[in-house]
Amino acid sequence: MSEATKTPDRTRTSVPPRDPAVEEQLIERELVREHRTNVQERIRVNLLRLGLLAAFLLLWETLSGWVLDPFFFSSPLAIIAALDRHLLNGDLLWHLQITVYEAVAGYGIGVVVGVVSAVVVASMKRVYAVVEPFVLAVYGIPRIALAPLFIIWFGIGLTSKILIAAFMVFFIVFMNTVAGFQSTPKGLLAVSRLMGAGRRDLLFKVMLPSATPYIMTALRIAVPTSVIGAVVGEFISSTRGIGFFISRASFQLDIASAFAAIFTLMIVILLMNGTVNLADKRLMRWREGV
Amino acid sequence: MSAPVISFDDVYKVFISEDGGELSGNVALSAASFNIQHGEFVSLVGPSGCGKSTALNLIAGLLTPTEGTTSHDGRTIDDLNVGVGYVTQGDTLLPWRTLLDNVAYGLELAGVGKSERRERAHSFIRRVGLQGFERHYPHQLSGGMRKRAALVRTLVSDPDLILMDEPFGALDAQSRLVLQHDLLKLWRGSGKTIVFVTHDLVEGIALSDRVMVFGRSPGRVKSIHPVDLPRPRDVFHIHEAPGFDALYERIWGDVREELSLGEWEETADE
Repeated sequence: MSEATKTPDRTRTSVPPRDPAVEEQLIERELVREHRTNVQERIRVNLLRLGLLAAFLLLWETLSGWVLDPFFFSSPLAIIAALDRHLLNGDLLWHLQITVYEAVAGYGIGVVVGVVSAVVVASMKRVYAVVEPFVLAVYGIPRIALAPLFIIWFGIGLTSKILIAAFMVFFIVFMNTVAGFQSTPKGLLAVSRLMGAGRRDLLFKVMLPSATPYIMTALRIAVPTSVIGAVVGEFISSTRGIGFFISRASFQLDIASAFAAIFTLMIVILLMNGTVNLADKRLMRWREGV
Repeated sequence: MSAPVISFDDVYKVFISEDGGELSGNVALSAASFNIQHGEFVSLVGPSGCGKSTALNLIAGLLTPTEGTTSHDGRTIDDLNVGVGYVTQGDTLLPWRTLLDNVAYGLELAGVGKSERRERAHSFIRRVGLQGFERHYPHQLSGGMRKRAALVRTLVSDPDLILMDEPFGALDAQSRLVLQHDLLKLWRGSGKTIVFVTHDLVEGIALSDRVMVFGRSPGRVKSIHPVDLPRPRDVFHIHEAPGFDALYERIWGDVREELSLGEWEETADE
């Protein structure tokens, strides 16, 4: 502080004065440059992605009829033709819409029940310690193994598929949320309690926000899981849905149609992922480096 | 003399720890008896593991004594001491809240209305020069700014007693001095009692009315030194104050005896 005032005037005056206008200009210039680099990089990555996809399809098309038997492996052009045919008469979209409905409903139920159960478990002493081995035991078995039972219990309609998807989503969300609660920094809890926070305050103002990164991770992982749940259910027993469509096409050895449906499904999963990522960005603005 | 704010009467604290399935106990605080008066600034100094933080956590009610009595304003502390201000070494700002919402957090928990808590938070934010950063999240602030925010987050609720556990420990030397200066400015004339844990003897002397030296194995109060340097104090030049050197040597002498042999030899070489 006072050290600065002791500094001889000679050295002070020899320092050139700062010019805020120049600084402003430099900031502006660097911002523009940074923005341009980011945009260019994004374009480059996207072009490379398209290139990779094109190369893959081209290779497939070239090998088809020569190394790959088109009867078993079909070919991109045949698949596009099948896609065009099924999209035109609308049956692919009709089956797709049923699967999306099952997956989204299962996702919603699984997420809500998962978070609520975690909250209940976290707010009651000892409950998690008691149920943990059971939860881990059920978590350990491949959930797909339970799918046939769900069909028996809930019929071959949409309900069983929704519940299979919900069941699979539930575990991911529940386990992650519990882990998130357990990782809440003790210091935040102690200081909050000293400032008069009650149990509800601790839950809603400290533990839940603190667990959001864990919950967001679960929400992202659970997107493809919910689709898998619905499709697996349809594979086992159903009369509609994209899983039914694929399994019917495979049985009829209509490989091009099966691939057409698989590609449509991939696009749907990408779209669902994009939606969750958007929500993630909005919710997680407080995090470093996000 | 009026009744003390804090009173420890023959307080013991035993911790049980588990190491490889083996339980063992150690005495973190032994036969601690002391009083802290209203409006006093008291520092607790001493090597690691001497029970300074344990004493602070006992006052906060985060721990209860194994034996003996701790009291606050004549009331036995047997549960969380809600309403006591607590500033820790670690970051206890809520990372998902902006600076403004962090500072207003205690008022929000106390049920103060939105406009009033914003107004009070704003006035404290200005007092430590953080205006313009209200919308920033903690990770966007420097270490010194975060500490300032944690300090006013505590002060805005107007607690009579403030506990500080090495609050400036993680800061660089310059920021530390500035923060000490700010703390004294905020405390001066407020009538608040502050219990301040630190490793830094100069910091303890510069800020305090009394410095309590803790010894270890077991943790205990070893000696209490009144600091008679006049106030207001200039923390930037505290070492030039008359009487500082003698006091520093006395306290350092007590602390030195508590350092383990290896540390002692290292310091003796100087």
